[in-house]
Amino acid sequence: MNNCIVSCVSQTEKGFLIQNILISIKGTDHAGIATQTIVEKMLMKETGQTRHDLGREKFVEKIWEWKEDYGGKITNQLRSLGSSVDWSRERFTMDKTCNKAVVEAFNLMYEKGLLYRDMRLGNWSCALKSAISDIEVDYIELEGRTFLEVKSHKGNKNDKNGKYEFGVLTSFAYPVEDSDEKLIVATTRLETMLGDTAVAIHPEDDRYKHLHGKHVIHPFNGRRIPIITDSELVDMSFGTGAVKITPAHDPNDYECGKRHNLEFITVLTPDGAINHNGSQFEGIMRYDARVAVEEALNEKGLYIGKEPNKMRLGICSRSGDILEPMITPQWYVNCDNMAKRACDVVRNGQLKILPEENEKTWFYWLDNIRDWCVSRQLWWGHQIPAWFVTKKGENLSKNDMENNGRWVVSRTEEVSRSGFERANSDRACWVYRLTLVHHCNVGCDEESTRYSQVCSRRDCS
Amino acid sequence: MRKAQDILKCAPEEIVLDRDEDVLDTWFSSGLFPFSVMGWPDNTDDLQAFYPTSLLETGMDILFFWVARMVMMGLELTDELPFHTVFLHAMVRDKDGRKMSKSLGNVIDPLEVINGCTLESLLHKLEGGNLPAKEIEKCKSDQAADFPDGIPECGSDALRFGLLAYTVQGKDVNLDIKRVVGYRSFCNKLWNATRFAIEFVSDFKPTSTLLDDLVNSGKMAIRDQFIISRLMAAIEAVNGNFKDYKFGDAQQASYAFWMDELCNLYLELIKPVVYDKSEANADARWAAQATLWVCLESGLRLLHPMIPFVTEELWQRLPGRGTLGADEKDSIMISEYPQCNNAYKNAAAESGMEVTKKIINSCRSLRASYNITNKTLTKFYIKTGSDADAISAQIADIKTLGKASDVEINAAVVPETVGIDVVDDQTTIFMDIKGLVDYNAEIQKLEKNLGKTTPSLDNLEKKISAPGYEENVTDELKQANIMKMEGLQKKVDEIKAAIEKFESLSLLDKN
Repeated sequence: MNNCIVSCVSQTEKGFLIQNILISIKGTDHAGIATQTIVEKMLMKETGQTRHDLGREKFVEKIWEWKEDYGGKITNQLRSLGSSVDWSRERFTMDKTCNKAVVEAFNLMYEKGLLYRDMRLGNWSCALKSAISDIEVDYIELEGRTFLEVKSHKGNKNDKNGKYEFGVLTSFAYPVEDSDEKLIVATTRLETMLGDTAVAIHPEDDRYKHLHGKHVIHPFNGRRIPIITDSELVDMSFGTGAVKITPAHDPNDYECGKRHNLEFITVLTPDGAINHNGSQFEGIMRYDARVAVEEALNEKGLYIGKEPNKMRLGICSRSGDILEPMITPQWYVNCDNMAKRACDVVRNGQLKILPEENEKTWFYWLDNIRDWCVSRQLWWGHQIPAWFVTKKGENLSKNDMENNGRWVVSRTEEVSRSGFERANSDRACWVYRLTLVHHCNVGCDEESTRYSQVCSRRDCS
Repeated sequence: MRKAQDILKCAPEEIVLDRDEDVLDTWFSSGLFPFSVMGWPDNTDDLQAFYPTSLLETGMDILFFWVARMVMMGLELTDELPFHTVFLHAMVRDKDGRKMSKSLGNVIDPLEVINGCTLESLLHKLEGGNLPAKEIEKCKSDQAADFPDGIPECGSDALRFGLLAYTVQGKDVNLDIKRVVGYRSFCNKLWNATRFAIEFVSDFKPTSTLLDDLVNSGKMAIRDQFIISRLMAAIEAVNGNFKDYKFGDAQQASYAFWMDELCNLYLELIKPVVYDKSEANADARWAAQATLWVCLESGLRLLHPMIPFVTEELWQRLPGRGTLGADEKDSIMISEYPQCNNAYKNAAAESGMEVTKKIINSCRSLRASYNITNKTLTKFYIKTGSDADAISAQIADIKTLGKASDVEINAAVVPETVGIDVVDDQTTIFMDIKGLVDYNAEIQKLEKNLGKTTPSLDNLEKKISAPGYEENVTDELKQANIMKMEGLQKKVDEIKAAIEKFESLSLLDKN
């Protein structure tokens, strides 16, 4: 598609820019997640191995092999289509030139204070075992009780199609410590109760005034869970007016947890099973755990019931898996100022976006931008140019934010000698995305004048 | 290492460096693309010469993933906008509007359209993918339903031309291969017509200033002036549409010029002119050849960015290639894109040709209504008011395309044995049908037709006058019935009039 259009644009530009040089550059990106996923599936289909069986180095080698093969196919497609680009300037985002730029950009942004490492709640794709950014999330709306298939799950034993139940609000009771009283809470994600570290009530709620300062007891591990008052989070008129708080697995609870200095207990493993914090449910996949927790609560007489509930589910656009909010250490880019500048250039007419109706979405997105999570727990891509520094014999955790000062971001050869020399192919590299990532560069160059001043059609005609 | 020493304040050999295992979001590196490809952060010649760039052309789906990131990172790291214009093309979807995706198994490889492929190989491709077995079966049956005979070989030219035709701003492209196949026929037509036309100019010697020479020669007929004027209009439209990123409109304009004006009209009109090699016709013949040569040459250049392969091949075959002097280009690819010269537009010739076309259509429909075979020429009488001069000037063209043995304008006497067609309020055409039509056979045919039409009309009338109709039938349906009844009534009247006409003609014959 863009290939035909660029030919047309280039042709007309040629008409206007007689005597000037016009170049059209094509490049392809390395499509980290998509590519890694495809090669992983292929490996599984062909040899029954996972990438972990193969090891990082061998696996990355496999991807390069696949890329050479598939990349050739795309070159062939584009040449067959009669693409008129400067093939000598062809680029691939994993080649040496691009890697140098990536390292430099990472360092510059770090030095400017725009890039930082933080432990926060983000979108976690269990299928990919990686964080993904906000714009890689697709949402599906559930009108009520809905059964869905879930990736990496064997199938719901209670459903004839093996599907899992979503879109219901499940109520259960927490026993209040040293009392016969029970506090009823409700949730759409029952398995998260394994990571509950508070139950919140509204400070003004007369029904619960006698519980201020008291605790409930976790039915599966006996943990003492504080009853806290929070007027921001709790809506007295909704449900029972008591809200379970899982700071490590829900964005609102995360904020509440920070306000009240609660414990953050992560209950999932990277691949979406219940971890060691989940008592007897450890090792069970998360949606199987949802069923198991319901049964276990029922046995204890704490299960109340469930009702259909309209809700929105975040889906990983790269793998189709249902996303989990998880607290993980990641690198983030502060986008506030950059987004403001990107809006300004469109508002003041310096940057034109066609068709024009796209401007509205441009503003909407950039005005509401959040910090960009740029790290991915993958093997295929530009490895982050940051090193965790310890003295010999020291045993510090990389993931402890206390040790954040031990990270060094650098561009030097000395420390960056870590496997990227593989990407040293200067010859034409083409890659595998059928969504053609294509950059057309129309320019002119006479006696090395800066082309920005001379190239727009207005200036040259 | 130096930074590590700063932090730990200890000897280098005591330091352990452990690189973060994670990688960066692909879009981080893609966001640097406009300047990283030029060699940034080094201040390379390319970077100085070509950055910032002008236009970024990509798919609507990655406006934020890619375009916004390039703008943000470009502004932040180079303090410049990486480009001043973004053009977003729509997404190519399947013919039912579904996203092309591996999991739906409906992805079409451009090479499968270009080279064609069998149903077997389409199905085989599904097996080679990563789809689960039960989905493969579903995709296979979908593919078999959509492409029972595989995909015919369309060539890149047709695929490109087809994709452009779909590029109506902002709309998704629901790619129906049948439409691409349609453009393959256009490419074939282009190929055949141009090769045929090249025969017409095989003995023609073009000059490097042919268009100017032609326009200043004083030898051009109205048809020649007309087609040059239309060529200029097409060039102007295509250039304007390209400039405004209206690629579908550009495609339409170039298609219409080639199909409707050059191939179906002009080429037909000049056949007798080119075949007549008499001395008396020499000037007219030269003008027609020169006009045709200019139209082919410029028309091919006009189409070239949309249809690169066939246009190059044909352009190379034009007679006179290699004799046009030092400025002649070796390839259509590097020759200039045609530009419109308003001085070569000719409103009078265009309106004259409009009148001619109307009359030709009328002649043709008269011939068709009396089932006159192609081999038989017919005599026409034209009664006209203000268009008399325009028509007189075009009698040759009317004869050529109207298959007329003769054309008389505002004749004093028109025979009674004629078929009549009203062109407009100025002009009426009469075709002499004496001896060409078997009146009795025609009457029989018409009566059979009347026998079918009358009952339908009666039934509808009965329905409308039935009790309860007024109250029970919706206004919409009532309106539709009235329209239907008027149509049927008109048809009945026309058939009756035609029968009467033939009856009186047959009477004339007997007398």
